[in-house]
Amino acid sequence: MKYLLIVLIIVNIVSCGTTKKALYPGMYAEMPSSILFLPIVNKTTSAEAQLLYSATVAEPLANSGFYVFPIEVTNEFFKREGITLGDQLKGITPLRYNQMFGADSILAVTIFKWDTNYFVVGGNVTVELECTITSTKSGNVLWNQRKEYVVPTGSNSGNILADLIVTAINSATVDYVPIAQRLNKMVFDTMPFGKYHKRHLKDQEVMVQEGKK
Amino acid sequence: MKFLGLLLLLLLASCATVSESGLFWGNYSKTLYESKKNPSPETLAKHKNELIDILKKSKELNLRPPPGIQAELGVLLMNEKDEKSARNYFSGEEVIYPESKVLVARLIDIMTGKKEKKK
Repeated sequence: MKYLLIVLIIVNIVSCGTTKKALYPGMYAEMPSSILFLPIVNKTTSAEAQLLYSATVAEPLANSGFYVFPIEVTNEFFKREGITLGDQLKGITPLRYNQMFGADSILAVTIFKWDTNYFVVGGNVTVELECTITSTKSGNVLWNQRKEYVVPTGSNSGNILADLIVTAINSATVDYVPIAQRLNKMVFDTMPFGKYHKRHLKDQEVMVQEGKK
Repeated sequence: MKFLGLLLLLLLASCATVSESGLFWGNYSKTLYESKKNPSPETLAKHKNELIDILKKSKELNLRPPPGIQAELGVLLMNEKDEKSARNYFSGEEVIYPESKVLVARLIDIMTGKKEKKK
């Protein structure tokens, strides 16, 4: 864990990426101010994955400066139309979401993997996701990321015995909400900021790593 | 390592309070997840109280309420037939976030539609 953190920090510092502007020109050209989160396409067997993901996605998106339509409310609208799974949305044009909700853009998420791993000390959740933001005006993909994320779940006090006990307790009752929150923070790390963020349009030269598998 | 720990703590502490874009979320994700995972009047009431608390604290801290919170609370109140309060929250959402205009209009349609049916 200690080394993992150090390696992660080093990788972060030395890795050279591409600027946000070069990677996601559409975000700066169209400047969507609102995002509608669509029901998830879940390719895993974990129903929990879907629940955890959608409960924690609004926060980082809104913190990035976007108006995020209240997911609980929009999901109710989808339910009224008989839609509970992302798979059922195939064939609906992006423009339709603009008419239905007045959304500038839509966020579609597919979960490919959601594995929980326990080690003697610590553990992690390994998640593979594809997230795509599409404009409801031009129909263009504005931001896309397909990546595998490893989110540590264990404790790391430096005392192996204490960590062992904590891990043993955690394995039974891990609170996955903060883990999903951490995951979503990682996912939207490369997003250009929206209009409600003070660095809106000031982050174009920020270097990021493209999340492509 | 201690420094790293401190850094992590600081990061965690900052998450729990106000975001860089000036939003206070309280325990939103947690109570929402609980109300979905174990749906019951108790978990729903807890989530509703959290929404009220987020709005109260945001006001105290002189912050914009996070997007969607007023609309979500409005829907809960609409379901409780408290239409006056629901309407207040819906228009609050629209005033602060004009992006919600179409959604709010649809919500008000549903609310008044229900009333018509009752007549």
